[in-house]
Amino acid sequence: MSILAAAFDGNINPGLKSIGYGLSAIGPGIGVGIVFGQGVNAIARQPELTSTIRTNMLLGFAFSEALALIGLVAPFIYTS
Amino acid sequence: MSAPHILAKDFEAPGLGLFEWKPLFHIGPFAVAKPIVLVLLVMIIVIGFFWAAFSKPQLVPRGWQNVGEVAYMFVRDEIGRPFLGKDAESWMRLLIPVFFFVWIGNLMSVVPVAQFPVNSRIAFPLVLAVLIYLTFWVVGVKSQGLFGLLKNATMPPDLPWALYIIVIPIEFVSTFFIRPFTHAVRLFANMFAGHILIALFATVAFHFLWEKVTPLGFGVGVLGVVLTIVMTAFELFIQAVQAYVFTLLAAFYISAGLYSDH
Amino acid sequence: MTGNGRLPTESEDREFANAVSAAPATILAGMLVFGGVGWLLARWLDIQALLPIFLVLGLVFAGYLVYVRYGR
Repeated sequence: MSILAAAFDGNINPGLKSIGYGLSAIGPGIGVGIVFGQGVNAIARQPELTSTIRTNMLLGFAFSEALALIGLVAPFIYTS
Repeated sequence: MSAPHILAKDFEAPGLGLFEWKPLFHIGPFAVAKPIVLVLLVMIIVIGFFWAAFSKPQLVPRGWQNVGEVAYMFVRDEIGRPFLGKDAESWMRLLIPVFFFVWIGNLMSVVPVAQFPVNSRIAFPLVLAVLIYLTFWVVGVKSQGLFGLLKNATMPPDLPWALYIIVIPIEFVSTFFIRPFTHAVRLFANMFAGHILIALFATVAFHFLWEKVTPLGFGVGVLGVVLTIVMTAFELFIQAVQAYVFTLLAAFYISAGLYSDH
Repeated sequence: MTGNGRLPTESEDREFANAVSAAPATILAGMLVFGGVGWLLARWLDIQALLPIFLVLGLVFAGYLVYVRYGR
C-alpha cells in the first residue's frame, strides 16, 4: 500500500526504477533480436540484395532501440 | 514467514562492497590495494610475453615467437586491416597493448587467487577510452583540419539548410560525447555485472553447502555450484568478446579520424 | 539501393558497422540535447510539462536524422 502511495507522490523508491527499466528492456531486446535475426536470414537467402536488407534492418533496429532508450530516460521525467 | 524467508534468513547477497578494498600496504601517502597490484601484474605479463616472443625474432619462429605471431596477426588482420587499411602496421603499437591489456585484465576474474576483473573499476576502461578519444582528436585534426573534422562528423550531406541548425548539435553530442562514454561503459558494465553474478552464485553455494547446511538448502547449494561453473564459462567467452569489441571500436574511431566518410 | 546485384564492398561494410552503433547514439544524443534544453526551459519558465515535450521532440528529430543519414 505504501508503495502505491509513494508512486502517486512521484517519490518512488529508487530500487523500483531499476526494476522498471529492467522489465521494460525485455521488449526491445526481443525486438532487436527478431530484426537482426530475420535480416541475416534474408541475406542468406538472397545475398545480392544485402544493401536493401541492411538499410531496412538499420531502420527497424533504430526504432526498436528507441523504445529501450525511452525506458532509460523515463525515470528522469517522472521525478519532476 | 514463508518458506523462502526461513530458508534464506541468514543469507547476505554480495553488493557493491565487492568492489571496495582495504589497502595492502602504503608507499608514502599512496595506499596500494588489490586492483593496483593486479594491474601491475597484468602489465608485467603482457610486456613479458611480448618480450619473450619478439626480442630475438627469427625467420623460422621457435618457441614463444609462434604464439606471439598468431596473436599479432589476429589483431592486425581482424581488427587493424578492415579499418586502417595499409597503415595498419603502424597502429599495431597502440592496438596490441590495448587488446591484450583488456583481455588479460578481464581474465583476472577467473584466476584463482586474484579473482577480480581489473576492468570492473571504472577508472581503467575510462583511461583507455580517453586515450583513444584523444588519439582520435589529434589524428583527426592533423589529417582533416579542425574545421574539416567537425564538418565531416556533424554535417551529413544533402539536407535542406534549415535542418542543419537542429542536426548539428545532435550529431556533435552523438559523436564527441556519447561515443567515448559508451566505449568505456560497455566494457566496465560487462565486467562489473559478470563479477557480481559469479560472486553471487559462489556465495549462494558456500552459504547453503557449508555455513548453514539444511536438507532443503542443499539443493539450492548444488544449484549454486552448477551455476557458478556455468557463469565462469560464460564469463570467459564474454571477456574475450569484450576485449575484441573494445579494440575493434578503438580501431574504428581512429580510422574515423583519419579518413572522412563522405 | 545502389549496391544491389553484387556483394557489399568493404567501404559499404564499414559504413554499415558505423551506422549500427551510430543510430542509437544519435537517438540518445537527440534526447539528451533536446531534453537538456527542455529541462532548462522548464526551470526558467516554471512549466513542468516542457521537459517531456522536448524529450519527445528530440526523439522525433533524432529518428528523422537517422532515417535521412542512414536510411537511404
